[in-house]
Amino acid sequence: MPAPHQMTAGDRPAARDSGEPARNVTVRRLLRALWRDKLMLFPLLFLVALIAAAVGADLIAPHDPFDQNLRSRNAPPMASTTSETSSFPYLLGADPLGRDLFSRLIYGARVSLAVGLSSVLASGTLGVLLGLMAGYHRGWLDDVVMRGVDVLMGIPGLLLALFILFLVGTGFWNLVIVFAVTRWMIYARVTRGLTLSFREQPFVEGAQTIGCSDSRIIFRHILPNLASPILVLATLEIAIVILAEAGLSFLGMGIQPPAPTWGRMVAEGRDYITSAWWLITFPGLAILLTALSLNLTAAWLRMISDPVQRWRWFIGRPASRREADTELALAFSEPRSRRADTERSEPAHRPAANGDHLLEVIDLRVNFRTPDGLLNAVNGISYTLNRGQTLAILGESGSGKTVSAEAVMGILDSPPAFVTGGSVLFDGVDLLQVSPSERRRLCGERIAMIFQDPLTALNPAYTVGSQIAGMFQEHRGTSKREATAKAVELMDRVRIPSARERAHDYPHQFSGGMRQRVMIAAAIALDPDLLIADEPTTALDVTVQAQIMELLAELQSETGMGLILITHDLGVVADVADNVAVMYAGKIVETGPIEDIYSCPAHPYTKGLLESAPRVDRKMDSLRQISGAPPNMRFIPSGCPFHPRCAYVVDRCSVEPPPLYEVQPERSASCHRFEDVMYVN
Amino acid sequence: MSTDSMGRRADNRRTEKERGGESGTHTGPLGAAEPLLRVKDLVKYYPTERKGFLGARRGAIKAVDGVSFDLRRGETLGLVGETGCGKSTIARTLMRLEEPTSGAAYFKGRDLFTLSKASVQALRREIQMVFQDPFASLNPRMEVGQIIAEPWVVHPGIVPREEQRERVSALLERVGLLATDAHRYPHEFSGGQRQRIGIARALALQPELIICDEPVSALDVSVQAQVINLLAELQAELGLSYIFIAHDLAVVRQISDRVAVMHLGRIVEVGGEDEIYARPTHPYTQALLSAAPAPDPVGRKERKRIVLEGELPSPVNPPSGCTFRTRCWKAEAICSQDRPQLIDRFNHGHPSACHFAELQILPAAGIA
Repeated sequence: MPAPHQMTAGDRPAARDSGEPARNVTVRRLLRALWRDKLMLFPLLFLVALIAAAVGADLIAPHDPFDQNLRSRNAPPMASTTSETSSFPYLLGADPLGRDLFSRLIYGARVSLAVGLSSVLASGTLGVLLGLMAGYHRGWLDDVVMRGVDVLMGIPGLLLALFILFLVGTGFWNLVIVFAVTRWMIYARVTRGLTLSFREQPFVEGAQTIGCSDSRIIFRHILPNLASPILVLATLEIAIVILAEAGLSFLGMGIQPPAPTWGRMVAEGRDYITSAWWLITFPGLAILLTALSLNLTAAWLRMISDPVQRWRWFIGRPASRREADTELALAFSEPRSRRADTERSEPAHRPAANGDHLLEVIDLRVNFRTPDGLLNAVNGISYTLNRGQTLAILGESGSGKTVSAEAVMGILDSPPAFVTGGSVLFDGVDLLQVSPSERRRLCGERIAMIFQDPLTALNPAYTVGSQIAGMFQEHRGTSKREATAKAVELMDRVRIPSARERAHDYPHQFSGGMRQRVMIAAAIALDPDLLIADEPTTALDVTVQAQIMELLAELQSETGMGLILITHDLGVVADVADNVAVMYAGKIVETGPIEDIYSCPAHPYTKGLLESAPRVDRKMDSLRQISGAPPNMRFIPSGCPFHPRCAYVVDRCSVEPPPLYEVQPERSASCHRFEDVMYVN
Repeated sequence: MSTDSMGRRADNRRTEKERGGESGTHTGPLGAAEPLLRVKDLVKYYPTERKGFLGARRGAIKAVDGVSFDLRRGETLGLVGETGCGKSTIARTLMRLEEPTSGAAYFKGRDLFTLSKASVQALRREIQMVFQDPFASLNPRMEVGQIIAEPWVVHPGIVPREEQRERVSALLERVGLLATDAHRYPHEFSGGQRQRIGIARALALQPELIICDEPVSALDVSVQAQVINLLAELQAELGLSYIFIAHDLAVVRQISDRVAVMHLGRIVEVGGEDEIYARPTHPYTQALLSAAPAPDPVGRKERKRIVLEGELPSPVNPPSGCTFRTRCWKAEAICSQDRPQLIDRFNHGHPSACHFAELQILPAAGIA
């Protein structure tokens, strides 16, 4: 057995080789995200400038904000100064008491930001703490906190704030208290929800099993994971509080004069709106730009911290950018000449006119365009399937087995997935060339698919009977009554007990195995020529798996349909398949009749899989193991993608991608050393 | 298997000493006959009654319904069964993540379920757990080194602060990672590597018993063997005992010395690995084994397969008598009246709970 060290040598994706300390990664990621979204520089720079101005107001402001100069009343912007203390012009004009508007704006920023930050700190701390406690301990504490949230959310915040300010009086700290009281529930609600879900996470249970105290779990394990959503929320809240403070000041309930605040500057300028437009315009702009910048920053933070949001944003990008990516895709894939060579050596690649195959897939390629770059999910695979045959596509997660089937079926999520090459000949018709409507007709009637999780594939709002009947109504124009009768017939055929009654049940009322039978009933409704089963039994228990596989085999022998079985389970493949195609890193590495491959594998990966699988019928001293892990699809190793994990690796493997060699009639494997793999141990 | 401290590695011996000296909970080696863990009549019901208006609806999910078993030192007991058979609930009650409804579990002679909070804390050091989902079972905001060293922060006095870094490196290397991996975050690792990290954390407190709840079922096929071999090596080296929970019969056979087959909250058959897999007596075990597909296409046409009819009954309202009778081809009137006891019916030392237990000799596969 190899030493544990070498065992994982091939286990690390390329990204891990950058030797930078982990702490810098977050900063670097932020900077990289900023580089991608250069427009974000504007709001960020504005906020930085605002904070700098607020902090350094004493240095920056050209005038004393309280310095009245009655000779400069309502002086317009850029008017030269008449003050004795400063010779700087009134950049943005002066107010009715002759005070410099620009200086007052800067000092106003100090007040606004101070109120905003302190209030958010106070309400955030209060809300997050209550939310954590409520979510973690639940019970009565949760009830009390959440009812408090309900009540406070039902009262208009501004009214409540005015009422409290009326009672306690105005002033900076009173304002902070008011905002803490009226805004904490926003945080409490979000924090509680997240805490509830985190406390069920295995890593929190893991912390319990090593003996962590409740407070350690809350503050060390749960709180850090809430940081980014709360940060986003707090950024938004700063904007809301600044606006609310401006509103309160406008109403005269905020910070009291003569301290400059943006809200009261607007209020004071209101009387001169026709004669001195600058009095109301500049403070208004300051409020607007600050709120806008904060909101944009919050949206951006959310986007870069939440992968789902990032995807949505990426997919929404204009097409021109994607075109550039396509060119990149072609540049990344193998040179065309070599691809042609590879094809020639493939036994599967015969002229399309051959016509005796039900399905012939030739050099199919699928790319994913992701925010992190291009991902080659399927790298030119070819296979054929005849009527009545079962082809198993065997592979691990990320091998491209499901994506290739979705491409055949025409149900790829596009974007981000795109078919970039190849053809799919179904009964001689290239499905990738026909019009979408034609393809829908063909696929709907003659190709059917069943999925791993029937609960998500069935519509929860309709009875199973009507969903099966829908197949007839839509494709055959059958009347509803007749379609329902046929649906019951089908449910009988897939051996759902008391089908007539159960046709009126909804998917959630069925067990996993029965739901899969419903899926199969719907799939075979139109007598398809081809059934694609994607991990049909992976979510099922072994006894139910046996039932479903038996049912599929029976239906196949009755109808003579072709079956593509996608799975990672060597045992299931051994039980039902005629031919098998083993996929690794988006390529078929070995294909041929099942018995030959299982008895004498020609690719080291197939061989490794077969030898490393534990068996029910015997116990081994220790399992033979394949070192390393399947590659990250963004960093597929050069040459043969399996070479870092391969026991048969030689120098040429890392340089020269092996073609699919014909190792025996009807069998091929893409390994330079297939003879050694097959015949030498 | 060697279970005395002489067989352990040097560093393990050191903490054995520390543990005894520091906390005084270690009562010294027990008699060879006494099991490390003895679970007696463990019951866990989850109430389903609804409070609030329209009154209460009484009922319970009978997740575990009277389970007893022994675990010897240095042994692996496999718990196998289908969804909802209660195997994970047993793990969670033993870890005190859930409170049992009734029953007892004697670990080195002390009942886990009646211990005080402080004693539970001490117990955490001797029983650890490895979780199923390698992606969710590590805190994404902590460095791997912090994750592995956290048990020592929670239980001060085991490993002094200045030695922790060194010990983390040693643990990482022991499970097949690099010492430099301590400064990386969990998301930078593949599933198999994360499971290694989880194992390293479980080893940090030098437990005697590790409960593995489906530790390889979320891993890729080509990585499963690595983790199974690692667990086996660690056991041989450190004299660990495992409770290994899985639904995959082949994986359980590979790692277990003894196997308990569970059905709807009860053990229906328990015995040595070769007994259960080569000479099953309970119809449910026989059906499970016959349904498990072997990676061997030769002769599949001739293979006889027991395909069970019907569905798994609900644990809220399990069948009377034998819970398997609704799917059993041997069921007769007595099965619905009498709950069959788990007793040794063939003097094989492997009890089964079936009125019509029948020895079935399964052929072993040829040695490759």
